[in-house]
Amino acid sequence: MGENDTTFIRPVFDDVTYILNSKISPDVIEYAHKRLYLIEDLYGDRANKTEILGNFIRRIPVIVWACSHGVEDAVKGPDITQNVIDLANTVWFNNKIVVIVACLTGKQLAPALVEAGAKAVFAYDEELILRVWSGTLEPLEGFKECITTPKLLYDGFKAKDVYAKTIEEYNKWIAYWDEKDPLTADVLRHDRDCFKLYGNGESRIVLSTYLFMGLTDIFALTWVILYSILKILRITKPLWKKTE
Amino acid sequence: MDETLKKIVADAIRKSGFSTVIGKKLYTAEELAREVEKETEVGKKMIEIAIKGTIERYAKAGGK
Repeated sequence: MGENDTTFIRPVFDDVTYILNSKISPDVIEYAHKRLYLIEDLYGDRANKTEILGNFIRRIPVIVWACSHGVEDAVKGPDITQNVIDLANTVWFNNKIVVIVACLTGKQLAPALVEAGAKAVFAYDEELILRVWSGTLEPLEGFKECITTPKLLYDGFKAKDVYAKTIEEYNKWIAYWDEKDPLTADVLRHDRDCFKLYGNGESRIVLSTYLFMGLTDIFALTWVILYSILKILRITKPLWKKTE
Repeated sequence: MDETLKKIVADAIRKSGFSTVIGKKLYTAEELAREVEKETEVGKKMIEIAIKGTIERYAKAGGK
């Protein structure tokens, strides 16, 4: 139970959480969905402690994403006055990999989660800064790609490799923006430098058994089709003889 | 803080025209440029980021 489960904590209560959870985190959900993970999406008002506890009792997710405002010791939700993850419920994340897309949480919350038994935690230990297109609020090229790179966890990569790939992604987009708008490259540099991995870098998840079941189904289907063709060929073989 | 430095960063922000999410707020280019000129906490942060980034970019280019 639980080896295919993943939980998303996505409050929306202002422009910033709207950008995070309408423009960025849906990509990760789609990625996990395509890999046949069972997704519990605690979106909007459902991003609260009661819903999380209920979800963790019903299922045991292997990966938890939280995208919101953050302070040193908490992730905010479902609104700015409440905490959805803080030092009081760190133990709920025991044995899980946690990705926190929020400011400052690397300072106290992420180490506390590891202390409480989380396998690995990805978090930012300074303010996460995003640059967006003024009209649409779509993140500029590179920001979404970098923030969502830890989705590679769903492919079974080790936490330390996911961290290295995220830094690599940041460097790729920094080089891109250095040519176009250096200030945007500088913001990406800042985000890269405050993105941290806490806990055991060797942590990984076992690939979805549903994925293997899917592959097994494909093999079985191929075998049935080939076997049927062979059967037909055998049955019809006598008819192949040339009539004299 | 050096006025020239503030002007360079504020101009760069205005020129790009992009909005920026920093802290708990979304700033338009103009709003952020004003924060830099007024030397608020957010403005200082942007200047610090620009200096740090410029140093790294300069080092990467071999100091040329």
